[in-house]
Amino acid sequence: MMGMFRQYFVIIGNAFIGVVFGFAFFYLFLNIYHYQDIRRGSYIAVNEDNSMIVLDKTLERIQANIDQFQKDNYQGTMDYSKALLLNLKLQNCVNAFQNDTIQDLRKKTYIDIKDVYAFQESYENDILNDCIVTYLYALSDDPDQSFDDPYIIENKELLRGYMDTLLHETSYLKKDLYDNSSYYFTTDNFSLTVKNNVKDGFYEVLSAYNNASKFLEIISEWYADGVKGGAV
Amino acid sequence: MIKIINGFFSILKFILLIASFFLTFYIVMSMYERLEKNILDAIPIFIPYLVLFLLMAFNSIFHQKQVTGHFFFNFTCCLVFALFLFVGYRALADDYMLMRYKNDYHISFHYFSDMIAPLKAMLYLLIAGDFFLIFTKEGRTDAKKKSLVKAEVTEKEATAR
Repeated sequence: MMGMFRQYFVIIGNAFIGVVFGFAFFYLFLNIYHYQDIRRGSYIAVNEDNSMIVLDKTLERIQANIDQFQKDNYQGTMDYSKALLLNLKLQNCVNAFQNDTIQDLRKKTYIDIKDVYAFQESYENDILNDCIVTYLYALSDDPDQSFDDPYIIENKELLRGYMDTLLHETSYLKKDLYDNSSYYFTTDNFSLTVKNNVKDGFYEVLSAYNNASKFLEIISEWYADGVKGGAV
Repeated sequence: MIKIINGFFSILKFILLIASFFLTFYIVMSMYERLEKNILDAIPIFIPYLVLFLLMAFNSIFHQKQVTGHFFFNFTCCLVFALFLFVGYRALADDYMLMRYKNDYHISFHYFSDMIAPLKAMLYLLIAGDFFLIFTKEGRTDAKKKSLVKAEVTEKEATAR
């Protein structure tokens, strides 16, 4: 009688261990596959990319506009102290465009999800927070009209609209990228969505960089006109 | 050969059990600290570890060969703890799990909490498996009977020759 029970216990015990064995292998391979899957990226020669070349050229033009301001021999129509202040702000903005993340990306020919995330973070921190909000938002939201400048006063709404667009441009991307952080992708479609976000997301952020640089160029052109004594 | 491999796995399972316990403990404590939850609520997570450790220690101390010599059991235990360690590694150090950067926690808590339920289930099933295997130990009378049968068979074989 005991022998029979013993046989049953052997079968039940082994069945339990077999179930665990199956589950453990399933989860282990699922995790290993996902671990490799999220590391797949796209080949993009960042430094040779057309959008990056456009960005570089725009930054060169902005720098040339900023350099119109001559500290020692100032003859512009804009008040000197305001011109000096705006010069510093614009220069800081140009420096923000040359942040460490973009410098690291320029060396790469292969972009993965971590790079895109860092690129998006750098856009939010360096471009939006440090440049647009800290230095330039005041131009469109200045109750004292401290610049007292016809260009700014006339185009205030337009500038604010432009800046608001920039502020919300890539915010969706970060939320989508967070979807990679589980132990498997529920469907192949979902996996493809996350992977597509890597390549598309990179160009999305780069285009946001370009849009922000265009905005900065508009401001810098108005600034150049003001500081070299042209029509403001 | 199989005995050597089995011996290796039976020692390895203890080392992996202890390592995975401490890894889980660290992550769970960090998780509860972040949520400002009472740490005593986390005790149920560690109960299966403790029970399995006690069972395995019991098996080793009382030389229960039906469990310690069970290659499949030892190998499965190692596999489960390896999974624990891999999950812990991903939660703590996998840079590509972007959620770990959110709010600067640097641990993928939600990923770990996704995995903790199946991992706990596996531990409980291992406990059940071990428990059933303990009862498969042959009694003294059975062992005597078996040895008598064996002796008879060898005698018959000898006479036949």
